[in-house]
Amino acid sequence: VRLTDVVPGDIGWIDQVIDRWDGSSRWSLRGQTPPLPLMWALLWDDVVTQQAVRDDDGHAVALFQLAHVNLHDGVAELAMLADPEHVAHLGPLATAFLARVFRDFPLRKVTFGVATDERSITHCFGPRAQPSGRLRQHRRRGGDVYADVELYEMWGGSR
Amino acid sequence: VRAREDGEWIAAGLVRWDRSRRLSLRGKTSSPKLVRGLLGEHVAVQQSVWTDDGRPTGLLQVTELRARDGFGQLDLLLDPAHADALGPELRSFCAEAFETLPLRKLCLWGCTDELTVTRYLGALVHQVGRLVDHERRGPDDYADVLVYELWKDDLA
Repeated sequence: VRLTDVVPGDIGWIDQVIDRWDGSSRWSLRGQTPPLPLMWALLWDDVVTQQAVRDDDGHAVALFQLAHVNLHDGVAELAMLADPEHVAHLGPLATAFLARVFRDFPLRKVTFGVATDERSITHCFGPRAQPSGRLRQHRRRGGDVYADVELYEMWGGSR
Repeated sequence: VRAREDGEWIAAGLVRWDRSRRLSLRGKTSSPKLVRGLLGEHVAVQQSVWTDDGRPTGLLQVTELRARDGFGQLDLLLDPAHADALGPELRSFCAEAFETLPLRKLCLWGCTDELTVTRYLGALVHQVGRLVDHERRGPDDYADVLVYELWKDDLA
């Protein structure tokens, strides 16, 4: 697998997988059919850098984004969308993306939220992702079923 | 609440009063455009609180409503000199929001040095998270952000 740039045409494969893959809060849309303008906004609005992960056949297996950069406080949101079957192999590329983020932007840490039924993506970062909170019953999954959202933060440098 | 009429006291309150994260200027200065945005963008319902003799003491907002998931954000700008009186008004505002909007809970984000939410809502709010050293206050000086939830069932 390798990191590649994201192009407008990538909206096509994202539309195909958004209901099945695990995502961070930004992409947590299970059970919904998001309209194209929303998909477009998720892919480009407030995103300062992003890369897709593709396998040797060129098929996308994940998307990493840096969004909502706040240079005043030195924090930003890390957004992810990943095929749960490939998460186990994404660690090195997730680390590489994170290293590039902390190299290219004056950030102290990045944060992200993950619904408990999509938490496989936290495995990309291992123990570096430190829990910072848990929003209870935060994402509706149908009827009276809700998933909690766990909050995580990851620090740059040697904290 | 109207930006034109209320802008002046809100702008003053933004730098002096207790406030949730959305209403924190973080070193910036206020402007009419900024106040218009805070009062007009992503706001589901809002009310101001006044004393009997006509002095403003608070701005209460529900913002970022997510009807599908049944939650919204509670944003507050409160004069701490009237904390005792503001508590009941705040509870009443939240109760009405739960009645009129598709809400199960309200989430509140506030910096440790800008809002002691338990002062106004007591044990009704539950702290569910803490973002460490999240907002800059000066060189190598950062404030934590605390995350709270207020559930409809707890207010009933």
